[in-house]
Amino acid sequence: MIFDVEYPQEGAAVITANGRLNMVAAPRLRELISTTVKDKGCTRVVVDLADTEFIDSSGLGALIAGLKTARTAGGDLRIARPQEQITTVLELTNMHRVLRSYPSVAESLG
Amino acid sequence: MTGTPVIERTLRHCVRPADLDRIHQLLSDLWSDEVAVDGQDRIGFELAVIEVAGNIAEHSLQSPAFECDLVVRIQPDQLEAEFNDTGEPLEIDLEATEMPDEMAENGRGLAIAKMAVDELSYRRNGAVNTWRIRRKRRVPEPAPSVANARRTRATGWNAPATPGIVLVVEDDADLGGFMRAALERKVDRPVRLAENALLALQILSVEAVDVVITDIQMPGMTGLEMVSRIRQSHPALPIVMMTAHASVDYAIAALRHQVDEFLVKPISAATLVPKVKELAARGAAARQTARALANVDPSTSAEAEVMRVEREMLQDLSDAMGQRESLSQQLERAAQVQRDLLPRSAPLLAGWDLAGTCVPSFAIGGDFFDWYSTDDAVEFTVADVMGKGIPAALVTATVRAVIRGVDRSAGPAASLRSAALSLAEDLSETGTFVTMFLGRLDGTTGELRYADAGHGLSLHVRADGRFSQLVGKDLPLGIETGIESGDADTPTWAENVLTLAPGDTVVSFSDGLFDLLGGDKQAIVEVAAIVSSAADCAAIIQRVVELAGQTTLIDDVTVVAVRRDYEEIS
Repeated sequence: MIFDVEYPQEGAAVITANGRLNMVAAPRLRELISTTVKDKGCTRVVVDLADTEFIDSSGLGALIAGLKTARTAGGDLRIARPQEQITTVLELTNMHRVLRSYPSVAESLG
Repeated sequence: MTGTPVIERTLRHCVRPADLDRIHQLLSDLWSDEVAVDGQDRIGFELAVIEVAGNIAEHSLQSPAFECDLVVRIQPDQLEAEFNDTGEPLEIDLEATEMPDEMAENGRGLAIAKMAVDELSYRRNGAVNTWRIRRKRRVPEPAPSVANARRTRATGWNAPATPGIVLVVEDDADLGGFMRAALERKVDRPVRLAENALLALQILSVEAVDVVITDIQMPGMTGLEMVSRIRQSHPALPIVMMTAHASVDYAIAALRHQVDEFLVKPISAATLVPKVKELAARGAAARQTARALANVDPSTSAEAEVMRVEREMLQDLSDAMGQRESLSQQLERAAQVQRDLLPRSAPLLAGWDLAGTCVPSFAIGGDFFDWYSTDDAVEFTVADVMGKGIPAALVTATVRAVIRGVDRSAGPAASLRSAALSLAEDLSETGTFVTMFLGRLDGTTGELRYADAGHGLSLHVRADGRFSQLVGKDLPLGIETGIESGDADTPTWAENVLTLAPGDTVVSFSDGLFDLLGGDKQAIVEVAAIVSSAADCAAIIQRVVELAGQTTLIDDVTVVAVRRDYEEIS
């Protein structure tokens, strides 16, 4: 899994996650979000999932941890462009209620 | 029967966390083979598999010698996965597992897995953790399937000999599970379990099977009937038959039904694995030859030549089948010859009651006994040749002939020494050894002179029931003793003497009987009890034959008994 971070606006970061978000990659995402929020001061975080083909419970855990970190810092975490596998898992776990999906990165930043 | 495909893949030596990608890859390869699997079925199934794998991977971090195998199966109506790992037993109550709330960071794994599929189970099987995952397919396979066509194309005549599966037909789920676990790791093939003959035949009709292992007695169609049916459709498929109720008749019936190997329960992995490995390789080769002929397109002359060669190979194969028929007949005949080589009746010796028997564990074996009569004495032998089957039987016949031919005038120890010299080269070449009791009974004095070559299982049971074991300290024939050096002054086997009083019995038996009675000191006590409670030697033999018939014989059971009559009061 490869992560890429861009800073399109002041105080906002877009993290692109490419590959499978499982127990191998999840701790790194968790760490990356924490650094982005706390060290870089970006409290609005978008995770772009367009190229994330798979997510499991540990990936969900990393997103929730990131959401809490962002909210604690007064911001938010949103996800953009999830594939079918991810929306299925979010609905299965009822987490679509707290992890809001946006059809594009631009809308999630809005 | 419809041509419903079942696709199975095995992934060995997972699951460390880094292996999760291998599992994803396995599934993604499967999906690309199996275009008909619905997207939601794929998602739910893969999710559950990865969640369980993640759970196992976490535990694997704590166990140094951790091993885990995963089998994934695409059935027409469902998707199945099974993990077997050697980790510590787990305390998991899947019934009670619930999805944590939306804001929880951990503890979602098994809850997700449970929701994503129709069945999720964890079981501890001996030293193995078994996880099973099953998802019913929302969109079942259309028949005939596209995937099936792909598979047929992929197995063209020049394709390498791809391994098929091992099919275990066993109605006892525990034993089946054991065999699957024992084989799957070692045989490099997926192992499928069928609980009855009909399911097995169904699997055979759609799967590439390299070897079948079947129980002989099952509900419904028996193993033997099933084997007959398989032989019609798959003449070259190796078959192993197992039974817990062995008897010679069953063994011969099984051989007549064209079974390649006959195993008696309890079956150890050490026996099973090499046998199945060897037969599976043979089965794969035979399968490829048959397939080769079926798929050749005779449109060019080169291909026509190939086809001719393949046809010859197939002919060879069918000739080999014919030879197998004849081999099983020969084995049966050999068993008969071996029975004929045993004494039909004991010799007559005035004032004595003599009897003996040999109950073979398999059609033919390594035990024998024999009588040798002189004017006022009778000699007898109880011998056990190491090993089983035809090789042991060949050596047994040789040993019997040599013992018959030795000059017996100098007594049992000298006879044994003389036989050992004659046999030394044969036993050394064949790497075999023989345990033997050789006794010479003087009818008038009641004196028994005997030599014991590693046999050690003879009892002197007195008329009042007290008994002692005739302990032999000497080595079996075939063990290096320096006898070949020809030092004639050094007797290798000691000669012992005991005198039987009226009513006393000497009984000598093979370790088959010893093991049958538990193989410990108590077994000796039981033999003595059988001897002293029997009215005559025929009754001893009858009791031993009864005992041998009650259970699965692991080894031949041989016993010889000699009893001195009570003196007539004149």
